[in-house]
Amino acid sequence: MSDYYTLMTALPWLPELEQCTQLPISRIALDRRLTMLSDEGSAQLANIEALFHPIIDHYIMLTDKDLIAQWKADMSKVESPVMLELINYQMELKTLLAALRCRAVGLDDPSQFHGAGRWVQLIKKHWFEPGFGLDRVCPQLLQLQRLMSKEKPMLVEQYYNQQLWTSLRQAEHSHHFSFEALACFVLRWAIAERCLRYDGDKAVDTFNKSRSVLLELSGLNQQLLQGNN
Amino acid sequence: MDNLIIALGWAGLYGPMALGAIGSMIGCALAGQAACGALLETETGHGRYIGIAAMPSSQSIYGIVVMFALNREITVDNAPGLAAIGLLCGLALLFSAAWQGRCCASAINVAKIRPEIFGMSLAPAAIVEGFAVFAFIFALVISAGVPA
Repeated sequence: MSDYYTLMTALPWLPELEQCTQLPISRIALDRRLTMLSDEGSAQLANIEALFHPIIDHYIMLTDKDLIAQWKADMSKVESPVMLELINYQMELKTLLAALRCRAVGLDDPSQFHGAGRWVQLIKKHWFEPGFGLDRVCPQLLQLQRLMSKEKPMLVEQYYNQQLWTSLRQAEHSHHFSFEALACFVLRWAIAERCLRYDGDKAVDTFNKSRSVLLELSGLNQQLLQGNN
Repeated sequence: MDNLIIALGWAGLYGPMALGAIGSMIGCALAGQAACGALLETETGHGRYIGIAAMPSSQSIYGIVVMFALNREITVDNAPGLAAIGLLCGLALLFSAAWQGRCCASAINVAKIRPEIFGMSLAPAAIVEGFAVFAFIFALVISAGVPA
């Protein structure tokens, strides 16, 4: 019960995402504070962080189906029901975004779509309906659709981050001085850090790198080269 | 049977002190841990964090006073009364101290972020202290009715 009292009060206050112009604590200082955690707590936190903020390079070689299988295996290691719910919520939002993007680029066969969470079957069933039959149960979908139709990916990303931020902050305020509060703080810190280092040039580099890997994997590069010859 | 009743009388006599002290230990430990964390994060105002962390210790003092108020020769006639007053008062002191510790930890956490609300943040801890005072005062009042 008392394990997190010192640690939680040793963490600084994170302002609201839109007001966050600089991080109140560096990753080095945060990691130094997190050394107060037990080995088991550290392992749990690392797993939750990896699930919530996956490193793209680790997953770029996986297909959607393999990615979901890997995600489910990692989820089984999370012990906190509160954190499981939050990670599920994040994955459901990602699934919605992925479905909207797949449909936008012309995927006509819903059975080819892979996702996670409560809504996957509904999404497949109502693939050709504008709101996947989820308009009433998922108010975020309408907003995501609206922003995607404007073709402003930055606004979509901001809305997605804001939704995650709100859910994490609510959970943090409901579980004072607990592992859940700590994990929510660390995840919010990571969202703030990611938003603050948005960089157009780096995004283009990452895109080019991802594109090269995918082209290499699919064999398209060789076909293009042969075609040129 | 008489021995059991006498033993309960002794438990009632020492109960407010022991249970109050257990509550104070829990409360001061929780608030103290929060104060230690706040020391890491702040440059000034350290003294007041440690001061807040000591708030739940008052329940031990109330327990000592109630113990002295109940102190008398324990007989089969007065032992049940002593047990009822002492143990119930002790439980009230224990829970109030433990939960006051949590209130103090929260007060330290928010006062660290916004020092200007330091006084207001102590209100919940003060309210919990009020209930401990009720238990303490009325234990003293009722103890006068227990046969000497």
